[in-house]
Amino acid sequence: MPSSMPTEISPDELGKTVKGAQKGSSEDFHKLYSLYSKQIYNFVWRLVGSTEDAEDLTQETFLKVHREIRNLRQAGQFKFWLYRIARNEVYQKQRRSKKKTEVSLDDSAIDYYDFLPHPSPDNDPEKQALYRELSQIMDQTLKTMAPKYRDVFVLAVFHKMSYEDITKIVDRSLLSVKTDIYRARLTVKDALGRYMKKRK
Amino acid sequence: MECEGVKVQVSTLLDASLDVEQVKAMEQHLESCPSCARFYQEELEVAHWLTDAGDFQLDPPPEIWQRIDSQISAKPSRFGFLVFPRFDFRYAAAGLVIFALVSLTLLTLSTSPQENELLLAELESYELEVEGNPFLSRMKLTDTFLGLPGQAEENPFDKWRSIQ
Repeated sequence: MPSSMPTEISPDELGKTVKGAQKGSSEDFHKLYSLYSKQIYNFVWRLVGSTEDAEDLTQETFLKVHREIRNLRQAGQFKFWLYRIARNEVYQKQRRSKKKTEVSLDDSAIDYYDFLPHPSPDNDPEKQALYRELSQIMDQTLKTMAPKYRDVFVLAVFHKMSYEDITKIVDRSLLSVKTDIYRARLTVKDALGRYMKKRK
Repeated sequence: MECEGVKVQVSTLLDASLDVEQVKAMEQHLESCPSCARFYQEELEVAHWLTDAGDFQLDPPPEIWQRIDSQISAKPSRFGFLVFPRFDFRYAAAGLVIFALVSLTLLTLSTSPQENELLLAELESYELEVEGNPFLSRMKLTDTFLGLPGQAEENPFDKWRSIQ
């Protein structure tokens, strides 16, 4: 992919690009890929917990976008439509393989936070170890979380999406999204709290 | 404000999805409720940790685009016309509607008023021909020619012979 591809775009420009892609412009489709592939890749990665699956799912998502983009009526809704397709692809894959993420805790997939840099500026080994352990707790908590909590939690916390935008992706009411994120936060807090108590 | 409602609002606040009025109402509650204030502090700590975790993002490997590109830019096969399109319920439904409309049209055309009139005229002429002729009329009425036992009526030929 050429490095000159944009990572941000104005709504007008996005509209033109989507319309171009709808008319079959491969250049515009490529532009859309460069704009959103990182977001989608990270979104599915957070949901499935494996980089290998995330690669396949990102690929499937954009191939589906390429096939279906002509059916998209409102170009301004492209981002939500794209996330929705990615989310559906994740669920379809899980249904196909009949393998729920809950049972893949000890598989060979790379954990989410194995990649994380140390957040603290100091290099205290004890803190690093603590952070790594906390990361693993977070990883397991996300994997065992009910999908409807995990989706909205990942979108709100890791993708910094507004609750209004999340409702467009998950097709649920604002109240339901708020409550589910709240419950997901409680689950994460409980898991971290339990770990901290054990550590003391 | 109820404590349970405030806790949901705390979560919403941490995701910056509260408006100014809601924030003010929540702050007032937190000042007067130690339990919710403690909950807020705990959530804030978790949120800081999550922000650190969330800031990290992976770059998608370039192979993903290469694979996509190779699939979408693949030249269609010489025998591509033999490949059926993917089954789509919308197309199936549209096909059914078209089929029903065509069938209905053909049915209507096949029983057009003109054809009905012709058929009636044909029937009328037959009735005149048969009913107007006493011999043929008799033949039509008798069941002898149908070979039904016990229902035989007088054969008009025999009657004619007996008169002679």
